[in-house]
Amino acid sequence: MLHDRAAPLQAPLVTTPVEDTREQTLFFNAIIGHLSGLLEEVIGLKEAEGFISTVGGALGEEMSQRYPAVPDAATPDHIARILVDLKARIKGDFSVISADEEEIVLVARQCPFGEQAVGRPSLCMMTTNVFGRIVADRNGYAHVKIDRSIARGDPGCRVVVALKLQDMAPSDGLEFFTE
Amino acid sequence: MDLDLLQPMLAFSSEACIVLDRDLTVVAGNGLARADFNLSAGGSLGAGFQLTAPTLQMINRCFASTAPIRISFAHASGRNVNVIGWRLGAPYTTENLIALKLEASLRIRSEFIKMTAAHRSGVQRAKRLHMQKKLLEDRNRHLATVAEIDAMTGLLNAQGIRAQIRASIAAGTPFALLYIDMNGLKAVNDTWGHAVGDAAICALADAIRVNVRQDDAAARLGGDEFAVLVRNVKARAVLCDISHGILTTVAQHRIAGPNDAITLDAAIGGARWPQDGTTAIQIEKAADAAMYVAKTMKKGPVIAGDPRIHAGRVPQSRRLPSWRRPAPGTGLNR
Repeated sequence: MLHDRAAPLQAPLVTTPVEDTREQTLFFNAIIGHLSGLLEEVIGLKEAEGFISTVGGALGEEMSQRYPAVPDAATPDHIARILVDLKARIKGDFSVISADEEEIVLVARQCPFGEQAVGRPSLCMMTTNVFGRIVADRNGYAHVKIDRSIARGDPGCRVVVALKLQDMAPSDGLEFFTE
Repeated sequence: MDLDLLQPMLAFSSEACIVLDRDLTVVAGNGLARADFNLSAGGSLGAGFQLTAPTLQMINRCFASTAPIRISFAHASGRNVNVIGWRLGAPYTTENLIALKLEASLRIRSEFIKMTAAHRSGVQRAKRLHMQKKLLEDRNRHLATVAEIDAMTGLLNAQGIRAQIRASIAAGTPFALLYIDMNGLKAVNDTWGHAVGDAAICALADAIRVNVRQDDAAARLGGDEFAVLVRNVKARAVLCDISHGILTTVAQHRIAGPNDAITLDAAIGGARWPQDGTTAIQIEKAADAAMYVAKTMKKGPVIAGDPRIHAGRVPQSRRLPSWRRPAPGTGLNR
């Protein structure tokens, strides 16, 4: 024989294409969860929040541009609807408790990061920065404070976005200004 | 030992690393040295760093020791870079070479600093202060505007038109000042009440507003007295036209009294700067005197220089415009 015959190959595994993207979402959420957890362990919560804020800030700018300016774009009600809409698109179940000239209050029963957010409070900086940028772009100013969060072990999230600049700087939360 | 082997050995370093000869020329350098400090083989250390006398002294010490020596370099960007230097030992002992490891590259450090809580707080503080400053400036501008506006009519008040007069004189812009005094307002107030009287005042304010040009300034001085600053007009005839326009408009405005409609009327006098006076007080006096003559003679508007005006006919008490005259018993200007 000039050469050996190759042994017949076993039939390869055939994977049925999956239409449901749930597995992919869980995969990406797991990556984000582990990354943020690692950051928090290695460099501490404050600095991890800084990294996440940098990413959240960039995403906030992109998302802000996706909602076009309309005549009533600066009203608290319209701004609140934008925030709820963008969260709904990424499976965050937010709803508006109140929206007036002073503040917008929202609550959520579900986090877009799912279970990966639990124990990783630095991920709250995503919501803080995205909300802050979108509101500040329309209102000129925003102060975002997360009173309760799933990441910190609460049953749900409560986010308060103040719309008026106070004389004294707030001791918690983050402020955003129009660029 | 082959110097060409230096380059690949430096590539293993996780930090920027270069090898220098006695002339401080770069003999070899890794990718980080090139990317972060623009240092590569053939280049000079002095190209990117400020080599002061103390720095050169420390570098000299590196040539004398294989033990690491810590130095701080000032980079051209102004930042300090921590450096560890040592003489290359065997097999490069005779080559008179030193290695420099430049710790924590500028680029990485600067990007990291931007993310730290301290930096972000500082940026937030600066942005907050900037916004507060803008809000205060807006508020001050608004207060300045409100301070010069008559609340009832929306025209300027005495302070406002006085500022305009001063500005015109300072700019050397010729102007005329018209004084307008409603006739019979006291009787209207006494007979029909102040609500009707206020309506009459507003009607005269509206008549003035529609008859003056955009560049001119109109003010309510107080009570039923008004003033108009007419810019860049010298001819008496033009001022008379403007005045007649105001009188015609206000006469068409009917105020419905309890029994009958009231026809409004006013006396108008004017003076020109610089023809009829060179200071604000002189112009105001001249305009007021002219208005008094118009009120007395009831024959239409009077402009300073009109033969009908004789100094002797103007009572001493009217030598100052009413809004400059002391309030009774106070001795103070209003």
